[in-house]
Amino acid sequence: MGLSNVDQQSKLIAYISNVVRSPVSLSGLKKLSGGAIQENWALDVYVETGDLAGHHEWVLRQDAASQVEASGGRAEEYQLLKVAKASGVEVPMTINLCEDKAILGQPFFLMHRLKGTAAGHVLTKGGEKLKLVRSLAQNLARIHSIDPIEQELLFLGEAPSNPALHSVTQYRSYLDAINAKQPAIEFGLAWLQENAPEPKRVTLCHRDYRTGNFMVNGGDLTGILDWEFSGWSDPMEDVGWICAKCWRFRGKDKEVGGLGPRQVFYKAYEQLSGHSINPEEIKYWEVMAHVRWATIACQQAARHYLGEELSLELALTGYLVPELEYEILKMTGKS
Amino acid sequence: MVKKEILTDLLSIARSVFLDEILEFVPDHKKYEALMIANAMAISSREEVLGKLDQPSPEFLDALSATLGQTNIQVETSIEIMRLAEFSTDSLKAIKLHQVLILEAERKVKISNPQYLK
Repeated sequence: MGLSNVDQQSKLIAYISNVVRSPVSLSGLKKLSGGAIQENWALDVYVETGDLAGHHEWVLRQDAASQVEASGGRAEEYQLLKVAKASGVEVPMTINLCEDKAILGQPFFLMHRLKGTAAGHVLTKGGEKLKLVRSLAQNLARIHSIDPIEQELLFLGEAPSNPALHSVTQYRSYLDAINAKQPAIEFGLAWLQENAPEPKRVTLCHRDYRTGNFMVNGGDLTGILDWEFSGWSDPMEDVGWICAKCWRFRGKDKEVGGLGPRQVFYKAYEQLSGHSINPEEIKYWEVMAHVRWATIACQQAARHYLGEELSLELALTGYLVPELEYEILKMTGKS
Repeated sequence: MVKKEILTDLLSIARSVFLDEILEFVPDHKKYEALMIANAMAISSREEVLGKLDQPSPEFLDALSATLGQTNIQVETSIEIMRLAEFSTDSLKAIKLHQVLILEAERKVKISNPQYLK
């Protein structure tokens, strides 16, 4: 869709030209891999005159053809990136938000392109990456320093009093909405309901903080990406998400995103945030992570099977559900 | 059964030719899609032999009926039971249910990604 069309490219050139108040030329337009829910395009922009004169490497991010229910819009994600940047989180610098659907058919924003790779199978090759693990912990602590009184994030709505129970209700409704009958996921949801912890605090959570959603260049973290699921939650949800087995790619024995040991991550997080991590609580949130990913996988598969967006990738995502179910049951059973 | 064997054989040989003779000529930017196609062929081949992933096995439904004490139970009913406020994952019934669910989950993983169980 979108930018492979010459007409849309012309509209984009005109739009950028208007934003930077200069003639511009576009080159190197390429759809980036990943992003079943959003589309990301690399583009090289040459600005002829003015303050921004010169060559720029940018990314254009826009909605894919269809959405999953919990995914936020581009305007919200743009604002989240700005607030995160102001709080010291490594994120791409934003350039401009366009909500006018007449340009590309969907809202989009432009941001600087970061160096490095986010590919999980590349990042989890080889030995432990302790520096990266510490850096990820510190950046997560900075995200969790943002609390629900943040005026710039009012669009995120009211923070739930018990994020765990709120999620259980939400995921049941998501499954019902697509008529998914998944008893193993339901067993996990029943367990999560019974064992829900009382939250010690509710903060901004990225809610997709995992290998594959951050850029790394030469071993250094260059930026946290994909803020579309962000919201108010128990900060331990993000810790459970990045530690969950389902996000370790090639590094199954490295508990933090396939990159390194959880003790290193916990220590770096605790030092910067001043909040301790209870490993038992993280186990709870790792069950939640598998239940949530299984629910999202069902939703993504449904986008294909219900004909919203025919896609082999979405169809195959549905085939991840059995192994997620298997993990959920291994973590929750007494049999 | 004969039909299944023929289909499985065709898919297997098609996948083998695709991986051994075609994949190397696929440009890098389309490799991911090519590997997805090979994966889809492998899953489809296993589904022909082991049953469709989106349909519960008859053994699972029988075990579910026995565990929950209802004849010809539907998956929907088990979900309704698990959503009841009084359902406890610590109860004896839940422990038996868990055993049934994990067997069915294993069956499904053998179709979707048998490597995962190794």
